[in-house]
Amino acid sequence: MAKKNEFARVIRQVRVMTGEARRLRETGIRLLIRHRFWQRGECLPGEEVLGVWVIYRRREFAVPLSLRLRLLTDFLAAHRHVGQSAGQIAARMNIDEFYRRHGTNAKTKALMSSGMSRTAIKQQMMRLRLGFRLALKEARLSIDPTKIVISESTTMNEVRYRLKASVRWQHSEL
Amino acid sequence: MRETILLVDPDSLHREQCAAWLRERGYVVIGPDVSPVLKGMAEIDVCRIDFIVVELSGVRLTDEIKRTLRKLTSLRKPDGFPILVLACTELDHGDDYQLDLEELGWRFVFYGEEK
Repeated sequence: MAKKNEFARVIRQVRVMTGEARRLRETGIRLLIRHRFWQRGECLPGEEVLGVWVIYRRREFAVPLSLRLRLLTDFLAAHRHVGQSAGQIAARMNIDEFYRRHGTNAKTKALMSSGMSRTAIKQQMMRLRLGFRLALKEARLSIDPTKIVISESTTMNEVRYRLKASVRWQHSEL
Repeated sequence: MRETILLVDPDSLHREQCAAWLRERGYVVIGPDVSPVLKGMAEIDVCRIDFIVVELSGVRLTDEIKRTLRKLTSLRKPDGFPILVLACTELDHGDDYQLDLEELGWRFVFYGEEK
């Protein structure tokens, strides 16, 4: 016969999992974006987007992304409450001082990215999902990456992209 | 909406007791008849399940079992979200046992008496 509190710890853990599943659905996964070459004060042009990490169960899992994909993730994260088409994303990123002057605080041109184009962004979205797939596999978290990099259809054939995640930025000087 | 738990426990009496506890707390519990080596777990209707609770008190982690458990780790609901898995055991199988399970991405709870 089972003792009175035999399953109490199991029940408690099930409640934690219930909360975790609910949070994943409502706010998405947790992302950490690190900027470096920060020069005191607020986040400003000249910094570098060092990388993107998935935070899961108190551990960090690097998302393997190229320079362009890091910039795209940073942009989508900063504008995550509104879906934007590939054309809108390209237009905005090409005039945004943060992306135009990316990494210039490091006094090297190696971190600069050439401009974004509408057609390139469509391709980048697929690669971005692949990056998330790899990080989530490492984290043993079986979420479909299309639930993170979301495509929203419109009344016409335009597709809008949005990042569903709770995001935190961290800045360092070096 | 009430969450549905797939309760995998090779001990049918123990399974019924645990299921009763979970049902009392508002969960819907379904439980397949599985052998002590978890055979029969391959075909699961993932549409109905939110979580899986696996009782491993009497189960040794052989390669075959690990393969089965690894399959459970990658299960996903049709809406793209994961089915979270909890392993529980009343017997202390040692640290490596717990580490092996946590490497699979599982949560682990030991509910036996501490020595």
